[in-house]
Parts: sequence; C-alpha cells; structure tokens
Amino acid sequence: MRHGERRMVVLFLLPACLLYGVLFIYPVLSSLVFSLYEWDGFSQQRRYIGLGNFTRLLADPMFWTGLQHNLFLLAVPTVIVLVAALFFAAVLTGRLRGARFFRVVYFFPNIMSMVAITLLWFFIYNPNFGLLDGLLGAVTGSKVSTVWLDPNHIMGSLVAPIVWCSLGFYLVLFLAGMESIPTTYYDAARVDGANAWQQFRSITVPLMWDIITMAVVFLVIGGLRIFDLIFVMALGYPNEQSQVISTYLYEQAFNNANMGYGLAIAVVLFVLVFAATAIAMRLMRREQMEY
Amino acid sequence: MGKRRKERALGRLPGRVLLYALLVGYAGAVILPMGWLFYTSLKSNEEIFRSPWALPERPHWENFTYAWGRAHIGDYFANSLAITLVSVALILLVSAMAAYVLARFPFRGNRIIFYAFLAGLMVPMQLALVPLFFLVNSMRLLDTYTGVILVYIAYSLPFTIFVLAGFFRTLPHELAEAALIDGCTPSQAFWRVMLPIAKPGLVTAAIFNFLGIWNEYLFALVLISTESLRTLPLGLANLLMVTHYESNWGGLFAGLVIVMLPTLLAYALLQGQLTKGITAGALKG
Amino acid sequence: MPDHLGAWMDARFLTHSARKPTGAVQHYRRRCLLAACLLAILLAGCTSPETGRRASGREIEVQIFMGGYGLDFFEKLARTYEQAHPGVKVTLSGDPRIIDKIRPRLLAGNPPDVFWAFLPMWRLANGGALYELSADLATPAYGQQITWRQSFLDGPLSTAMIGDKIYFVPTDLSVMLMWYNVKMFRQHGWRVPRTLDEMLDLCERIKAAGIAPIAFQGRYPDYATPLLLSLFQRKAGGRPLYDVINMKKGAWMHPDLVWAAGVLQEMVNKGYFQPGCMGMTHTEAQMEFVNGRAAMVPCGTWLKAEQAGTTPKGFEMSCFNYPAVTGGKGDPSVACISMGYWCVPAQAVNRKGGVDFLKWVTSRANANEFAREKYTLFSIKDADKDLCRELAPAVATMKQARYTWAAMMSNWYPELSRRLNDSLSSLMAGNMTPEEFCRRMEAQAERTRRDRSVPKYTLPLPAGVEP
Repeated sequence: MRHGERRMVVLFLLPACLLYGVLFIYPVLSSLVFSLYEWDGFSQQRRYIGLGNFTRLLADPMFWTGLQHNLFLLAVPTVIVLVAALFFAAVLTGRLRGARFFRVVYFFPNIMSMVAITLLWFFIYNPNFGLLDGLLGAVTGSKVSTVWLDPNHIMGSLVAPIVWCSLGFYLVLFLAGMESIPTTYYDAARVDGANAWQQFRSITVPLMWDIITMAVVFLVIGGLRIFDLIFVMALGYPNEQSQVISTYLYEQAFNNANMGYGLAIAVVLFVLVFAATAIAMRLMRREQMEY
Repeated sequence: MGKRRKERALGRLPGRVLLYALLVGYAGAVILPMGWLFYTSLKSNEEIFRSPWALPERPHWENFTYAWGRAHIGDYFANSLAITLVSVALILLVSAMAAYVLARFPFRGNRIIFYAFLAGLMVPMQLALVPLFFLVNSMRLLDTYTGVILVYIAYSLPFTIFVLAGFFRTLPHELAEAALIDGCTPSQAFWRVMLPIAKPGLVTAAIFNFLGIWNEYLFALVLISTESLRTLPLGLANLLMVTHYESNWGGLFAGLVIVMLPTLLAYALLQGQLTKGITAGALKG
Repeated sequence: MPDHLGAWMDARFLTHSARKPTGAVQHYRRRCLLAACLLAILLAGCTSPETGRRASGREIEVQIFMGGYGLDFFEKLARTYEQAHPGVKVTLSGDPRIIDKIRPRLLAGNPPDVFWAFLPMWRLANGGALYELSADLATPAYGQQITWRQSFLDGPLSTAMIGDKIYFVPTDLSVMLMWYNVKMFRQHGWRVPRTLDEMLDLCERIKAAGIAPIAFQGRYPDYATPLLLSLFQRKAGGRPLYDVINMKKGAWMHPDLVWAAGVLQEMVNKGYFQPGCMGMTHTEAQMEFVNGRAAMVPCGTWLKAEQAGTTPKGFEMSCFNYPAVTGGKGDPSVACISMGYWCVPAQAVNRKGGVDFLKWVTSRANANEFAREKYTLFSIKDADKDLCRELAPAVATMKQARYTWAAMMSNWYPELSRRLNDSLSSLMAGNMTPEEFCRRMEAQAERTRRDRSVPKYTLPLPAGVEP
C-alpha cells in the first residue's frame, strides 16, 4: 500500500466500524448471551439456564403457531407479488398508454410508513365505517357485517396489505430488469414464430432470474421479520390467531417480563432468516446467463 | 427498434381491454383508499359513523388543526424531519468513507470487515433490540435525538455500504491514479474525484435511507418514550390508541393525511430518481 | 455533505502542489476535528435530571396511564395538593403507553415517585422494585380519623395483598356488569332479567325484534370472562370460583365451568351475540351499542365515561348485575370487580412525597369527586355519594354484594391470561367445544403451576364466601 493510504484506510473505516461494533455487533452478541439466562428485564437478578429457553421454545405451542403464520405470510404474499409484479412489468414495458402513470401509482404505497399503511387498512376493514364493507354493501345492496379482522379470518386479511405495499417496489425492479434485455432476442424469437407468452417464458424469465431470486429472498425475509403491520393492527396485543414470531418475541420480552426467553426467540428468528435465505438461494440457483 | 418489441406484449383488442381493466383495477385499489382517506378526514366524527362512504357535507378543517396541534402531529413531523435529515447525512458520510476503502484497497481483514457489514443485512432488528436498549440507556442516550441518530446510522451501515461499495468498485482506477499524479493525497482523491462520480449511488442510498428512517417504527418505539420527541410513525400509532379513548376519528384521519402529504409530494418530485436508483441497483447488484 | 467537506479540505491544502511529508500533522488535525465532532454530538444528547428537587422533597413526579379518564382530573388533584402543601411541586405526565416510558426508567434506576401503569405489578413487587406500604397504611387517611388501610374497601384491598405485605393500592374501581339500552327496553316492554333463563328468553325476544341482543368486544374476548365466571359462581358456589382464581389443580375441569362455557357458546350459536362481533375492538362494539344496533353490552362501569365522546344525545343506558342461576349454589348478589393500582417505586427519589400524593388521591373526598366526575366507582369506603344516575345499579350492587371478587389469575400470570383470551376467542368463534376449552385452560394452569420461574399468589377467601 502506498504511503498515506494506510492512514486513510484506518481513518475512513474508524467511524463506521466503531458505530457498527458498539451499536450493532455488541448488542447482537449480548442477545446471544442473554438468551441463555432467565431474566425479567426489570431487576438485576439473572439466572443462568443454558439452553433452557431454547428447549422451552421447542415445546411452546404459541411459537409454533407464530411460525405457522410466518410461513403463511412468507408463502402467499410472495407468490402473489411475484406473479403480479412480473405480469404488470411485462405489460408496462410495452408502449401502453399511461404506462408511466401506472408505474407511478403502483409504487406509491411503498413509500408510506408501515404504520400509516396499517392504519389505512385498519379503516378499510373497520366494521363500523370501513371502506371494504361499504363497497361490498354498495355492490350487494345490503349491509355487510364484518368478518375481516375476527380470529378466523385475520391472517387472510393481512395478505392484502402486504401485497398492496410491496408490489410497487418489485414492479419497478422487474421493469428495470426487463428493459435491459436487448430487443434482438425478442426479434429473433418473433421471427421463429414464438408468441408473447413463449417469449416471456424462454427469454424474459431466464434472463431476469437473478433479479427474481433477489426478489424472492427479500420477500421471504420480509415474511419472517414482519412486525409493524401485525403489531399495530392488533393495537399492540396480537392474539393467538394473529401472532407471528417477532410480535411474540416482543410480547415475551416486554409484556411478560421474560427477557431471556424473548431473546432466545430472537436468536431463533435470526437462524430462520439465515436458513431461509440460504434455502431460497439454493432453490433458485441456475446457470448464470450472460448476454 | 423499440416499437416492435414494445408491442409484443399487447394482444388483440379483447386482450387489450382486459389488460386495461386489470391495470385500472389495481390502480383503483391504490388510489381509492387514499382518496377515501382524504375526504373522510374532512368529516365530523358523527358523519363518519353515520354515512362512512358519503362525501363530507362541509369540510371540517378543524380536524387538521386538531391533528397538527392537539395531537402534536406537527411536533412529531419536526422531530422526524430533524432526525431523518441528520441521520441520512451522517450515514452517507460514514458509509461512503468505509465503502470506498473496502471496495478499492486490498488489505488484511478487508474481506472480514466487509462480510461483517453484509451479515448485518440478515440480522433481524429484534435480536439486537433489547441489549441495544440497555446499552443506549447506559450511555444516557435513551430518549435523545443523539441516541436515535447514532442507532439509525449503525443499522443503515450494512445496506448503504453494500450499495456504495458496489458503486466504488466499478469506478475506473485511472481516475484515482490521475488524481494522485496531480498531487492529491489518497483521501483528497476520494473527496474531490471519486465521491462526486459516485453521486448516483449516493442519491440512491440517500433516498432509501430517508424512506427507511422516516418510516421506522420499532427502534423508535423502544428508544423514545418522551412524548415531545416522538417521530411520526410513533405519533401516528399513539394517535390510533388515543383515538380509542378520545374518539376523535376525524382527527385521526387528518393526522394520517398530514403524514402522507409530504411523502406524496416528495414522491411526485423524486419518483424519477427513485426508479433510476432501483434500476441502477438491480443492474449492478 | 461530503462535497463541502472536500471543498474545505481543498481550501486548506490549495497551496501545496506536491504531497507533503506533513501528512502526519494534517492527519492529527483531522483526527481532532472528528473527535471534537463526536464529543459535541454526545454532549448535546445528555439531559440533566431534575432529581435534585425531588430528593429534597420539593417535587413529586407522577406518571399515569392516560385512557378513559383522561388527564385533567389528576392535574386538578396535583394543583390542589400543591395548594395544600405550599412549596411542593407536583409534575404529572400521562400517556396511553406510559408503560413504555416507565419501564426504561425502572431499569435505569430512576423511576418516578408514584405511578399508575399496566405493568406486571406482582412481578415488580417480587423483584423488589416497589416500596412496601404497610407502615404508611397504618397512618391516618387524609381528612378522616381512620387509618389509610381502613379507608379502603375490603374486596379491592385484598386483591393487592401479597401474603401480609402490600406494594400497591387499588384506586379506581369498576364493577363488571351488563349494560342495556334503557329507551329500547322501555319501548319494547323488556325487563331486566333476574335469572339466566330470563336473560336467554330476553335475548330471543330481542333477536325476534330484529336487533342484535348483545354487542361484544370480540378482539378482546376477556370481556366475556366476568360473564363466564359469574355464571360458574352462581351455579357452583364461591369456593370453586376461588379454586380457579387460586390455581388449584383441576379447578378448570369443574363440571359447572364446562356448563358455563357451554352456555356461552350456546348464546353465540343462537345469535345472541352480534354477528361480526369477533372482529370488533371494544370501541367498535360499544359504538354498536350506543348507536342502537345492539341492545346490551358486557362492560365495566367505565362504559359511560369511555363512550362519552361518541354517545348520541338522548341515549339512556343503565346496567344490571349478571343474573342468578336457578337452583345454583352461589349467591347472585356476588359481583365481579376490577381495579387500577397505583404504586410507589422502591428506588423513587422522593418516596415520601409519592406516598403522600397517593394518600391524597385516595382520600375520601377526592375519591368521591373522581367517581362523580369520571362516572366510575372508587376503592374507598363511602366514596359513592351523588354519582351519576347510570351508575346507581352499580352502587347498589356494591352495597348489596355478599362479597366481591376479581379474576386475579389474569393479572398474576400473563401467559395464562393470554391463553384465556385465545381460548375464549376460539370458544366463541365456534372452533372449540366447552370441554376442550376447560381442558386447555387446565393444561395452561398446570404449566403455570409447574413453572418454577413464576411466583404464585393467592386471593384470600372472603368472610362471606359460600361453602
């Protein structure tokens, strides 16, 4: 390294590493340690119980229920968003009138705060004056009584807000990908007699595979980590039918004064995210296509 | 060249009509709730419950004064603005510096440090939440702008360094070499030459960080408890809970509108940049 | 930002055209700048505490939950306290999520001097975070000859006892009753039911009139617990009820409890609970009630206060205690209550002040005024003069009750409470049989009993409990 460069390297890395090490690495490592203790989070009394929290977790039905819900929210919205985003992207790359308008509109929910989105959907689903019931009432001509947020339907009702607020981002992502594919491929395919669907399947999708993989990974991780929507929709106290891992973590750590246990849940969540990412990337692996 | 390809997705007329129907339908699903939100915020409490989807009889602007003043949305707005702007500025500074050396200077430990930052992308915030709370508390930075800003910086480092390192890596070496030959120190080469060229990356990072921090809820929930320091997402959630007691639903809607308006404006102005940024990220990433 | 910094750096080194060996000096200067910046940021963030004034007793810091009662009354109490104690300032703050403010302060070791929040009080007490009040309870109450302890109603006070120690005192008192639409009842000639059979019959008639008989706060199924356990007590007597509260083995499997759960489910099946109620929050369900779309709603005596902002003019409401069960062993005068608790943290800087303010809040005069203004009851004896008309049946219920009980196990064991909520939800949504409900609750109770990390509490049996 050249003279002066070493100093620059150190100086330039210092603030980032300092902040990261102190405020990120240290707490994460602490969590790992505290998850081995029984602690209420109020007092100084802490009892070392080794893997006790983890064994308790394995036997905890609420955790598994939460995980189930996470898997549901990981799978269903992901599929819907992928399909819808690919579809809209394919359509909007064309010289469709108003393509730009649609792009702008669809992306808007993405920039709203999750809290604001949850509130909005809270009102859409509201039994007294909600928009959805109102629309249905107008269409069917009679008053519709709500079932949206009741225990049997709440999980399903959560899919719509998730799709609604994620679609725009992936739409833009896929549009970017699609527009960078050279037209020569499509021209050649058309000469060979391929129709739109065939072109899509054999050209567009394979060349966009990396981007699609990235999208899948983000959506999967998002499905596992989801918190704001559930927490606010349940007004801070999700019940069994709407519990997910991250809200259960919060409940145990902060409401039930089971701090050590809550942290164990957080550790498991991290492992799950890691595993899910690895699995998703492995499943989506294909030949890298160059063009 | 463009025309042929662009028409490939459009079928015959019935297909086209169906297509438009779908597009307009989804656009409606986005616009309709927003519109409903806007005009409901101008109704009185009683009107809201009596005829939820009718237009307001007369605009109740006092809902907005309630939200801005009594419900303190105005204060929360100022808090969010201050915190977000300072955080984004510092994030860019700190990340650019780190990303630059990580991307262009091979040294022992470079890879380890880089992957350490990347690994942060996968860590769920909740894992660090509790000890972070105690840590910030022991630093006497709980319930302060400083504490929140420092935390936001630290947690934006993985993503921002990832994005900026990508940019810096693609910059040609010749530029830096030329600068050095002209008599710059290595760090001068950074400030005067390389950083300006990385502007697209910086803008992208800035926009994403701005949005992320502006809308961030969880850390703010845990790190801020003084009412006067609340950020907008916190204030909104709080307003929702308060409304269940005070029952000023018109005010709540007005609060929501106030929160959305600047985002809407910013979006209208910057959406070109935003899509360009995502595009660039997609292609380089 | 980087551009400006770069320009500044440029300006400094413009004169140099070649790399200088003074890199060390530049480096050092830049380092100092960075350090100065960091220091400035850190210093700006430090807040100075006002604990000095509290330590000398000149200031009392109060933090309370801001909900249906708002903040104004307590602020008034703060001002009257200041008038009665010249030289002392009372700083009062409130928030719906005050719990998020108090928790970090408890952890940091600088809590307020007195607070009211929905924290796990019993856990706090066990962890030594709260100040034990027995000594202060023996001192005279404000404005009365009797001691502070004697000024409390027995039922509520007994719920706050942990063994023979007491770490928090009950304040606002609510009786859990069934509220009904007076005008609607009058119009249709319906009468307040005295027995379960009468109530079921009434529901049938209300349904036939095209109105939902009972609105329900389905998102918080705990609102059904008083109904469930009251029916249980009326059928089986007081001791089985206390067995459930005190987590005796097998208590949840009592056949009369299975029966009560069955009654609840039957009411749902027959459509006596408003359709769609399981998706409603408390505000939404109660709105249905005040807007005349449902005839009754189970709620605490806080209903009038909570719905004050949204009750249409001319709406008349009143309440009745849960009905008797013909042939049951339990006394139908027994009432289910619920209290708020205020406490003084052990580490509070001004403990004496905190306790004194607490005594002020619970003085008979202030308690009565609170009850009058806020349409509620209070845990102090004889603090029920001139209350609003709607609460008259509640006042009468308290006076006539053989004894009062509270579902303490939900306070003591948060996981059990969660489970109860979820199980009630499933029961009422029709996803579970009454037997399963009881089995599930018994299983959870067993888990809680076995869990050595959870301390166990007992609600003492009242003198008048039925054998």
